[in-house]
Amino acid sequence: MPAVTFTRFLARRLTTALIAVAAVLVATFLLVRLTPDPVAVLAGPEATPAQIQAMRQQLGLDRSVAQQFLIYAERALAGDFGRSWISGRPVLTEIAERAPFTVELLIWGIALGTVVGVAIGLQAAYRRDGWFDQVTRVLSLAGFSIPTYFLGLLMLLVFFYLLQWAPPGMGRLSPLYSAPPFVTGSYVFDGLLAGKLNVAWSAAAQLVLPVCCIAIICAAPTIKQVRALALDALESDYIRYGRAQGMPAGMLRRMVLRNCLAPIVTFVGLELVSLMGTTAIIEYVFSWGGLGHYGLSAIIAGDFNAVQGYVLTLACFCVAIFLAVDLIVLAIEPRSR
Amino acid sequence: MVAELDTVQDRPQAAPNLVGAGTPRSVAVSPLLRVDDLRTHFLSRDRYNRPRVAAALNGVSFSLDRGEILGLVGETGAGKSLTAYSILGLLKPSARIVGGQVLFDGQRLDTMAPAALNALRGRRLALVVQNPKTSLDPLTRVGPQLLRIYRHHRGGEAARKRVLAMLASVGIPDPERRYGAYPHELSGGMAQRVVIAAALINGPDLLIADEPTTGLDVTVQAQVLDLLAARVQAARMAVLLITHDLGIVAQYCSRVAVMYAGRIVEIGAVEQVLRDPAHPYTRALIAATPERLQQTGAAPPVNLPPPDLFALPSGCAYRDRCPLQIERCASTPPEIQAPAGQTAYCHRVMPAS
Repeated sequence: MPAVTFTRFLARRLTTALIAVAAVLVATFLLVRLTPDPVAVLAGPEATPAQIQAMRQQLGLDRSVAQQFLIYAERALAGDFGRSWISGRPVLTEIAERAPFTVELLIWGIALGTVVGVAIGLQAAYRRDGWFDQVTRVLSLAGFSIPTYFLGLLMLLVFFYLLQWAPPGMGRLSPLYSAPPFVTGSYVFDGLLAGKLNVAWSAAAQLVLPVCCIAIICAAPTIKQVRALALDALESDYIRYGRAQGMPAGMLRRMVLRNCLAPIVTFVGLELVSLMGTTAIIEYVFSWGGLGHYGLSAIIAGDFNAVQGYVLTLACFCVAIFLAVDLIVLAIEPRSR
Repeated sequence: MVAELDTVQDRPQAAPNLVGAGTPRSVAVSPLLRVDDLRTHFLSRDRYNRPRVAAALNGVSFSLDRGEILGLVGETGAGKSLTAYSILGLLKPSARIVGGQVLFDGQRLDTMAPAALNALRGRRLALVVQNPKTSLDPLTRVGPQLLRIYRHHRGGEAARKRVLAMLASVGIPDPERRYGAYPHELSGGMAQRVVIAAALINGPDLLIADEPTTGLDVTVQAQVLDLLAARVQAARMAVLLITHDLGIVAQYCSRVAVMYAGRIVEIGAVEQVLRDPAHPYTRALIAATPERLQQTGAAPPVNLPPPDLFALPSGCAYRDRCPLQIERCASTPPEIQAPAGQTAYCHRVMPAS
C-alpha cells in the first residue's frame, strides 16, 4: 500500500474513533444524569436538608445540565475524570491502579480461549459430522448458554470446594503473602522480578480459575465461528484447485488457516470488546478488584464520576482494539489494500 | 466402439497410441484415458432424514488419446464438470463414484491411494478451471503459486526462470511484474492465462479444461483457446474440453461427446456429429445455438426444466422432451452406429447398413 493511501486510511479511522469517543462522552454523561439523585444516598439517612444542599453545591450538581457537561467534557479531555464521590481520590488514579489487574486477566483468558477455540474449531471442520465435531458442538453450545456468574460459582464449587485443587476466589494473592513492589501491575511478573517465587506461584494459582472462566466464555463462540469459516474455506474453489495440483493435505490445511486468519482476528477483536463487560462479573465473583469490579461497584453505589471514568476508559479501549484489528487485517489480507 | 473396448480389455498394457487422432476407431491400442460406465451419485438426506440419491452420472464411457481434443457438450447440469471432477478424484464429500472405472495410462484412478493420485495431479493430470479468480489462492502472489506447483512435483532447480518463461509463453505481457501480482489484481483474461500456465508448467499428459473461457470476451476467448490449442499440439497432450459452445467445439475439437442427464447420448468425430447429428437431443442442441436460430428464423426453444436427477425416467432420460418418443423409449436405448459414422444411444436412430 502506498504511504499516502495508508495515511489517509489511518486518518479516516482515527476520525471515526474520535467521533465514537465523543458520542460515548455525551452518552455516559446523560445516562448517569437519568438515574435517581444520588446525593441523598451519599449524604446518609441522618443528613439535614441543609447538609444535602451543601453537598449538592460541593459536587457541582446545583448548576445547569449544560454547564455540568461543559465542565465534565473539558476536564475529561484533559484526563481528569474528577474524584470518586466515595473514596475522594482521583478517578483516573484509581482506574490506572486497577487496569493492569483486568488486563492481566483478559490477556490470559482471551489468549487461552482463542488458541483452544481456533484449534478445536479447525479440527471440528476437518472432521465434519464425526464424533469430535458432535461433542465439541455440544460443549460449545453449553459454553454459550451458561450464565457468567453461574460459571464462576460452578468453577469455585468444583475446583475449590469439592476437589480442593484451586485456592478460594478471594482476590489476586493468597492473604499469606504481601504484594510485590509495583512494576507491571501483574503480581505474577512482579513476584518473579522481585525474586519471590512463592508470591508469583500464589498469584498464578489465583489466576487459574477466573482465566479459565474467561477462556471458556471466549472459546465457545470462537469454536463455532472458526468451524464455519474453515468449512467455507475447505469447500472453496481454491482448495479444490489446490487438490487438483496434487498439494498434500498438510499444505491445504495451512492454506485454510491462512485464509481464515483475517476474519478470525476480526472476531477475536469483537470478543475482546464484549468480554470487557463479562469480565466485570467474573472479577466480582472472584473478588478480583480490577477495573470491572471497580466499575460494577461504582454503578451500584451511584458514584457518578467513577462510572463515567469507567465507561470512558472502556470506550477508549474498544476504539483502540478496533483500530488494532483494522491494522492487523490490513497487514495480512492483500485484498483489503 | 464395442469392438474397440473389447480389444482394449484384452491388451491393457498396450503401448500408447502414437499414430494420431481423428480416427480412433481404426486404432486398437490402449488409449491414454478410458472412462468406463462411470456412475457418480450425490447422497443427501431430506428433512425427515431419509436418504436421497441424485443420479448425476449414469454410465459415462469414452476414451481419449494423445494429441486429441475431445469436446464435452451439453446443457447445465448434464454432468460435464462432474465427469471431469470424478476423473480427477476431486468430488465434494456428498458426491461418490458408485460404479465404473477410470483408467489413465493403464492405472485405475478411481481406486488409487490419495498419495499416488496426488503425485499424478498437477504433474501428469492438469486442470484448467472455469473460475480462475476464485480458484487461485487469494493470499499468495501468482508467481509463487506457480513456483509451488513446479517445485512440489519437480524440485527446485531454476524454478523461477521456468515460471517466468511459462507466464510469457501463455501471452502474459511483462511476466516479471505479473509474477508479484495477487490474483485479485489480475483481469479475468490474465487470471485465465495464469491458470493455463499453471496447468502446463509440469508438461501434463492429460489436460482437462472446464469451460476455460467462460466470462471472457470473444477476442480474449479466441486468443486463449488458440494458445491452448497450439500448446496441446506441440506437446501432444490429450485434452478434454468442457464447453457449452458448439462453435468452440467445431473450431478446436477433433471429437465431441454430447451429454444429457449424466449420460453420453452421442459421440463421434466433430464433422460427423455437427453435420449429421443422429440423436434427437443433439439435433435440438444444434438447432438452439444462436447462429442457427438466426439462420432459420425459428423461435428460441422453450426453457424446459432440466431432468430431475432424483427421479430419472426409465430408459432414455430424454424421452419426456423428445418429439420422436415411442413406447420403446422406456427401455434402455441401444448403441447405434449412425450412417455418418458416430455412435448414438437412441431407439429412433437408423443404424448404418
